[in-house]
Amino acid sequence: MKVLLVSLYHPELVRGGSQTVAYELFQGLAEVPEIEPVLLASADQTTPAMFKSGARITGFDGRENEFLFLAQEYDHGWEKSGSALLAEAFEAFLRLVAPEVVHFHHFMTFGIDFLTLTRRVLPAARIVFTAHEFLIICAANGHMLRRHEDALCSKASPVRCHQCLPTLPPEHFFLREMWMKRHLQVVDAVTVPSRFMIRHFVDWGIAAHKLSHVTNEVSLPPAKPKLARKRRNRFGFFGQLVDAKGLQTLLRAVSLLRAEGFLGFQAEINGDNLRFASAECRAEIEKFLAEEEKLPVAERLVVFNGAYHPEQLPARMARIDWCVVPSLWGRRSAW
Amino acid sequence: MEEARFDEETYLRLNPDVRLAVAAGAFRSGLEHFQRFGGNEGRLLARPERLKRDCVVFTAAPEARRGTVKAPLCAIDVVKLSPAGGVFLLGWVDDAVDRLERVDLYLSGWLTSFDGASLARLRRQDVEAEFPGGRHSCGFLGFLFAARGLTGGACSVVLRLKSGAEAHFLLAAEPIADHELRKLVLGHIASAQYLGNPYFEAVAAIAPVIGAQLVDFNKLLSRRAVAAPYVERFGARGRYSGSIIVCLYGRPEYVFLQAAMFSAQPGIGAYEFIYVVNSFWIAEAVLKEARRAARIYGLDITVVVLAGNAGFGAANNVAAEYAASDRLLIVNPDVFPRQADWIIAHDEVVAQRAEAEVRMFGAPLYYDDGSLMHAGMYFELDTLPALAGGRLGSAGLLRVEHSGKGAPPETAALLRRRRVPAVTGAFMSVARPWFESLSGFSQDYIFGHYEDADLCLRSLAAGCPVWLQDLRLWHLEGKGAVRKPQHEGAAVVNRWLFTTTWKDTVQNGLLGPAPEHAELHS
Repeated sequence: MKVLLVSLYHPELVRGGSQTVAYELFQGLAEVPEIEPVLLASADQTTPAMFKSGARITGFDGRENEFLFLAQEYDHGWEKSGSALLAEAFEAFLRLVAPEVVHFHHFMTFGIDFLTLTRRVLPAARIVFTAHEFLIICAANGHMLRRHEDALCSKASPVRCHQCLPTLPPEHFFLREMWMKRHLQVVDAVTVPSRFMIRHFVDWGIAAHKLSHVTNEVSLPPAKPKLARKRRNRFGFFGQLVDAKGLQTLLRAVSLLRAEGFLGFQAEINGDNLRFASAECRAEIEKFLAEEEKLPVAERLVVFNGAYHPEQLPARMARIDWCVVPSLWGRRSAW
Repeated sequence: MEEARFDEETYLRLNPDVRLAVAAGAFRSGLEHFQRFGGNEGRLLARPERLKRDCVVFTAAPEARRGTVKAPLCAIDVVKLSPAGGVFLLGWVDDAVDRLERVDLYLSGWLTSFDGASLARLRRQDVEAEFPGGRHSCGFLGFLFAARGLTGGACSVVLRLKSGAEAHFLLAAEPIADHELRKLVLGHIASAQYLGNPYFEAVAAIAPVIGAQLVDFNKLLSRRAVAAPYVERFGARGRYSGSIIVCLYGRPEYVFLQAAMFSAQPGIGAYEFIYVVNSFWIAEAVLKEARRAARIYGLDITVVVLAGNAGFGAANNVAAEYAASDRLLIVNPDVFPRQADWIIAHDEVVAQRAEAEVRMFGAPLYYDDGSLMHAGMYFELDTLPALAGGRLGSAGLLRVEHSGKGAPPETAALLRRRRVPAVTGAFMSVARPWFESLSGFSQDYIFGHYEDADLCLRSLAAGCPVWLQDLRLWHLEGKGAVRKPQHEGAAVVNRWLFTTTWKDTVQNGLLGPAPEHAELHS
């Protein structure tokens, strides 16, 4: 059976949970004798060197069955590309590969309407869509956070969404919901990484029988033994450095403790993609880290370790006593 | 003989009122004043050093000086000419007592005269504070359409009051593109301030002359816009059971939104889409989206790009010429099917109802909040007391209303199929032969508004009232196009035109939400 995995980004190029899970699945399926997996991972202008003149889909770094989709003209408002050439290239790729299963891990950079295109080109194929957040429901980055009142959102509606994004009228969100549902109707199965998400999607209108809970699995090397220490005062943050992951909350906590003279701890920051954070969030994090850098080493409470590969996790985890998850949104813990 | 002795500086020194009038632009020189008025008034030309001393010397007979007209306090802001022959005049005058008689324009090879009564009168708060008489519509706007090219350049403007007082200006007539002139005039009409009810006053301002001139000017621009459209087809070609015609203005995204929603309908393969683009700047985006939509949804789409904004009526008419079916569905870009089998239901209505019932029909439309926004249209007449020539009369303007606007979604009385006075152009299903027999939409209305009601009334006049069939659609009213000041100005002209055209007909049994017209009850 041929399975096409469509992934937002390639984890080699851009770190992130969605692409990591997609890639792990690709590698796992490759070990199953009767399955031939093909990976089509997107690249965009965050990695401009991947673009080749006139190409829309290319191979990737000499790896077998791994392809790059060179995304362009993406409209984040409607979650679609404006490029007709990309749609034609994707259609040609589908016909060429002729998969029996097409599994979309996210749709961003491709477009939600590629689900419908896939159904039209491959009417007999099984189409699976994995939602890694609530982007099909929530235009505010899919986090279902009420921006104007800093609260979790229990339900999307045209008026409630307009309150979050007031420059857009309620009719926009009415249309957005119709638009998303139009394309999801061609999907055979929707998987989500936490049970918590199922209730939201069912309430929103996805048929319960299509929804499945599939936890994100990442194969990791064995955990490293921890060093014996008297004080368990090392904290660690792991994740993307974007607003919803809440690193800024952790850094504010450090500032408060420092102001109170509580200095007997250390926080280690592990993660990437600060460029995807909002300007305000990015500025806050960068300012904190820059000021921390100015301090004598002995006075620093926060250490920034940078990005990490999954195989580096055991070593980094071994350095800490506590893992802090200051996430601001209510998706789940998918790992 | 007198003129041979004339000395300009001496004359102006002896006649300070003339000096002021020359400075204000009422006369080009003291000599001009002397030739036209001063000579007859007996004004002196003597040099001051020769005058008698230690006594009062009258420089003109008192009775003659009373005949001297006071130079009007006024200004000409601009004169603009467009290549097709549009002439635009903007200015102001303090004529609260001595009314404006006319404004004459003299250019190389041609002249024109704006009658004071035909000019639109507007408030000019930037200058009226200087007037002792208080609030007064001292601004004026003129528009004429010559229907042929006019030479520009130096323009001599003479403004004359009823008393004969005149002011003269020499300025350069500014060139302006035709479509920009249309935008300018309509924008002024929309944004101007009026004394009294703004809408009524705006209509009154354009009613004497400007309205008809604008309609003629706009028709020329519409004809140009549709003359040689760019047409591209996507998908297959064939014969269809219906042609969905959508007129786009400013918002290309509705192509993919409609394509997505309609393509989910069973039976859509028997329909084609024709998008007619009234805003050239979105043409590329529309063509790309049409190409994508044909690829993603398998739809057959024709895109007709017009050279300019031809307006709703002309654009739909030209799109209909490209239809490959005998059933035209006029659909706004922000209209979407509300039921999963809408296309099949439409097919059944067309096939199973009496021919007269489906010759032209509309449908219930719903807001995104779930309430009704349209279940047919009816007419009301707004009236206000009006002063004309010092006499009190009344002015009336027709208003088009939607039945059921905001009503609960399942209001049976509103949803039942029935004859109605009119239906909105947001959705109309019409047999193509009937559409063509009516010559399609009127192209007299500027940009859009009222041509749907106009078409329905012409159908009624031809013996076929329109129907409402229970085929429910969403309509995100007003979201499918960009609205600018010139559209508000066009709405004024269109309402005037619609009232002028249909007031008598509507007052004969078609007024109100439950009109008694025999054709609606037979």
